[in-house]
Amino acid sequence: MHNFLDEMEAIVPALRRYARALTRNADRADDLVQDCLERAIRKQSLWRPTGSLQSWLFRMLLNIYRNDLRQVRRRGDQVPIETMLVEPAVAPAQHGRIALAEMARAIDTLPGDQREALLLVVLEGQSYSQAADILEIPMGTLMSRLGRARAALRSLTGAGDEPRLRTVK
Amino acid sequence: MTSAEFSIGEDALLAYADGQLEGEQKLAVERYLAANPDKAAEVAHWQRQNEAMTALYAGTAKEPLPSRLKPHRIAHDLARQRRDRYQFAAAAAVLIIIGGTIGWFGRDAVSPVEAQSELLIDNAVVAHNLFVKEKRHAVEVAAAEEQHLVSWLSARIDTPIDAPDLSAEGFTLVGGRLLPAGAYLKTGPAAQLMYENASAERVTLYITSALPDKKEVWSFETRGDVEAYYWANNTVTCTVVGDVTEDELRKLGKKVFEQLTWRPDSAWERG
Repeated sequence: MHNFLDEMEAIVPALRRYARALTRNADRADDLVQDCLERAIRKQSLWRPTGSLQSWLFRMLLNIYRNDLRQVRRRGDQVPIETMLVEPAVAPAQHGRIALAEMARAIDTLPGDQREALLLVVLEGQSYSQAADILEIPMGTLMSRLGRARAALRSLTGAGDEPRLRTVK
Repeated sequence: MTSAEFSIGEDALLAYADGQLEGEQKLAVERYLAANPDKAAEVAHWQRQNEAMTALYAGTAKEPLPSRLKPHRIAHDLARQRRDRYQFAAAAAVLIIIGGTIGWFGRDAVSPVEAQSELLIDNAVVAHNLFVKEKRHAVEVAAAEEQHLVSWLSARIDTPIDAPDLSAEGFTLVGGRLLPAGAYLKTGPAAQLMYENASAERVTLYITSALPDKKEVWSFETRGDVEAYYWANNTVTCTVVGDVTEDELRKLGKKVFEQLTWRPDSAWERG
């Protein structure tokens, strides 16, 4: 029990980070993580110690996230608009960097499945096979989602082939 | 271009950008990118995408955990909720049992035994007033069938009774009937025996099984036009009702008491 909880605690920061990137809302993200942890603790007996606890938790988090999204879509989003649009406080873009606010918006416009896959790999540093396992999709599907996400982000962040030439004032 | 470079497709470039490649594979992609500047630019852009995403969100993982996201705390809360639910259910069950028990054993407290004698007297008087006026239907079973009458009523009130002989006081048995127990009575149904004297004055006995407390109680009451003499002991309750003098009723009561309880020596005059 305590090993399980300790192991879980070590994963919570990553779950939070992923949830924050998915929802772009700190409170909603923490609600999501809390739901996930409660469910995981209740369903503890269903977790097979042979599998990866991290994959199990991420899968659970994604399921809750998707269910929430479905509900939000059904009843209309109840999150106040101003909290939705909060941009992370970040340094202005420098030469050769992608403007972060622009990037955040671009990620938002990605289809859900691409966003989930991309953030899992880039932000969470999951290997392709781990990511495919968490998302319960074949590797080929994962690669095509990543490829499409990359192309979309590239066009959305307005970067040509020479991003170093962009100037952001 | 070497043949190896031809096998490097977008998946390999993505994997390179995402840091998923090692050793030979990584070197092969680097060689390929050195020879293909436009692909190198694309990969570089992907890497800047990664930098941006990391800059946007990586900091979250370094924030201190709020207590609501600490698994030990959550597990503790869940366990307490479960325990509270059990305790609540258990407490509710105990309260229901206590309530039921108080309700059952406390029913004497809610409707005191004193009131029981009052109810019996009320019932006896109401039944007396109703039936003494009847000529043809004064009784259900007439005195001609006395044996049948007493065995039937004894069975129905669950108490062996005889029809007391009041001929010494000038009263003869007319007959009797069975009456329902009142709604708030703790006795069974009642037997009513009716007597009549030469002047067509009628007296009724209202007899039931004993009350749960089985206490000996005597009581003389006047209700409207009639006198009622009530007594109870560990076998029966009996209310003698008649439009007669108190003195007469006391004498009748004594006879009834002696014969119904088969205790001619008992302390009748206590009332």
